[in-house]
Amino acid sequence: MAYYKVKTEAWLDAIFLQAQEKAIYGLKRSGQGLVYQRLREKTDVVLFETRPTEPIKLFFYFPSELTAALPEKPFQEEEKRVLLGVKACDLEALKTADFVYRLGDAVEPRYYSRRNNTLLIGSDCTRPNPTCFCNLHGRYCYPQEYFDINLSPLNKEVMIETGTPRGDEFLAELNLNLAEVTETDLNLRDKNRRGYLEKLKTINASFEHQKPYSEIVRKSGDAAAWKKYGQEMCVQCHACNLGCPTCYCFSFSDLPEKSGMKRYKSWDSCLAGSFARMASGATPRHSRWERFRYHYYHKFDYLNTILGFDACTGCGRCIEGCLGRIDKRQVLSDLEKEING
Amino acid sequence: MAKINPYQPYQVELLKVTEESPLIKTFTMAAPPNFHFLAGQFVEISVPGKGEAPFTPSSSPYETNYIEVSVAKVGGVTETLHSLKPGTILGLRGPFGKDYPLEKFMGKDILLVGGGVGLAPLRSLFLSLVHELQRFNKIRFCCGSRTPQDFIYKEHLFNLWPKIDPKVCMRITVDRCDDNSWKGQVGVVTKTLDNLDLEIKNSVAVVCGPPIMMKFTTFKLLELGYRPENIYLSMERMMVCGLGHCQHCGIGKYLVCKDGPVFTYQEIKDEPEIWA
Repeated sequence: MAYYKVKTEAWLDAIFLQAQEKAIYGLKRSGQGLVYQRLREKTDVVLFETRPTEPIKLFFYFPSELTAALPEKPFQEEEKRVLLGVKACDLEALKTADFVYRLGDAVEPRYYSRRNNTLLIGSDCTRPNPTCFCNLHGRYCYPQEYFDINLSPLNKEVMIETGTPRGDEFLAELNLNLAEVTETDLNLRDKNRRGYLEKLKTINASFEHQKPYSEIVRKSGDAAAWKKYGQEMCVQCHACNLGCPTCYCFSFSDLPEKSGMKRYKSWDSCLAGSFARMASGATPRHSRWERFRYHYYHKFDYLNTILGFDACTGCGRCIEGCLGRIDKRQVLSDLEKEING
Repeated sequence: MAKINPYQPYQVELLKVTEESPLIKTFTMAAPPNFHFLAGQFVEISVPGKGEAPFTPSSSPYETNYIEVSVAKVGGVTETLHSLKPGTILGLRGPFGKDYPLEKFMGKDILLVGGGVGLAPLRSLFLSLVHELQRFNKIRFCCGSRTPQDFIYKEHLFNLWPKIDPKVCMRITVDRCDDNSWKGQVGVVTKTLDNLDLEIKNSVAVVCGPPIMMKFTTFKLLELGYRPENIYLSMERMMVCGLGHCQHCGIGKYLVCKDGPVFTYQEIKDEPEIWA
């Protein structure tokens, strides 16, 4: 909605000042990757670079959490918080989760509350990972929507783009000495962004594809690649589901209490043999490769049909985490080769 | 503003347990306040602390004081349910999903084909049809079961329903009978579909039962001249949340809990893995 710029140091000082009172989460280095931490004392915080190891869903629906109880426990509104440095792939992933949990007839109340109470400050991905492939979806590694505020690096300054009135309000609270953005600044930002995309193109040069992923998956049928990757290589570790920012499937576990029960909602995996198994023992997907294929069908066909875009944002966490060393890009490339005959 | 928690069950009292067959019992529960369902919709019933499972009510939607489900003892939750006595407090969520579109059945011949515990949703539908019998033409209710002992609602099937109205005709078969106690038809349920005495072009068929029975019944109905859009299937999947959130019950792009459980064959025939 509006563009400003400010010295990077001044931005960080203002954020840490706010962090004294508000729950603000920023990125820090951990091992070879980045993780979110709650900002308190002034410390190193990574504004740009790449997406963190953990998917953004960890902030909105937890691996396992209490979701209902008998007798009923009153529902608590979630605390207000700010996420700083959210990358485009994670912001895009929220579109899928919003569709499922927030925008339908039946709202997931905890997700709804967390989403409404979370301010999203996005930032350009300046150093894509070797497993990143958002460009192969026709996506960009810098946020264009779905943020309250977005940051782009400009030498020793940051360019601030507000996307919502809520973002404008937060920016006002920071009391920054904001400068106007010039055409030269915008040109620099765009040049930088083209540079990030070039890096992605180089990373993914061998995985270029002609047809959209949705079409490749829809036409794949019983392709041999499904069996190669799904049956021979997949070890069913579920790392792709757990790391995926759009995977939202869950199960309930009811545990007995002295005078009632507690119901936990926990992430589930479509690769598990039990996922679709009915009480009678029947399941629509007996083999591992059928479940592996379903994972792709769900993201690239079914949800694409409903949402109009792939429920995969190319963050590459599934490739990074896979114990069977399966590269989603290679699977899709092989499928395309196979359907092209 | 905080939203209602759709995962929170109501507490309902188990009023009665009826033994239908060696494997199947019918559970009568007090209906929660302002609870209404339509035939074909399903509910989630939980044994507190044990787990939750989806069931389609078998009672009449016009009955507002209680709700009945017929349950086959096949899994963890159902096994516990089978051990329960009246007075136990259960959890209930729902109703969920789409019902049978009775307005589309008006003025038509209606064929119901059910097998095993699949008769449960059809009982609810049958009671809805009977409630307003004047709106429909002939009703043929074809029921199949593995053996005579495995039939549920025996008193209704054999004594009460055949006498309801001349418009209603019951056709009953068993897969096999090892003694001479059974005088009726022996054979799979598709055998009851010969010589239907229905105007197929002005008829709808509703099928509910085990996947293999649904598959072969559907193929037989197509052979008889039923159009795919006039064949209604009650699809079973593992519906966990009932709200379109958890994704366990996907059939292609559809979710059984939201887009079903009632589908026409036309809607799902091109989706993968429909006869699980």
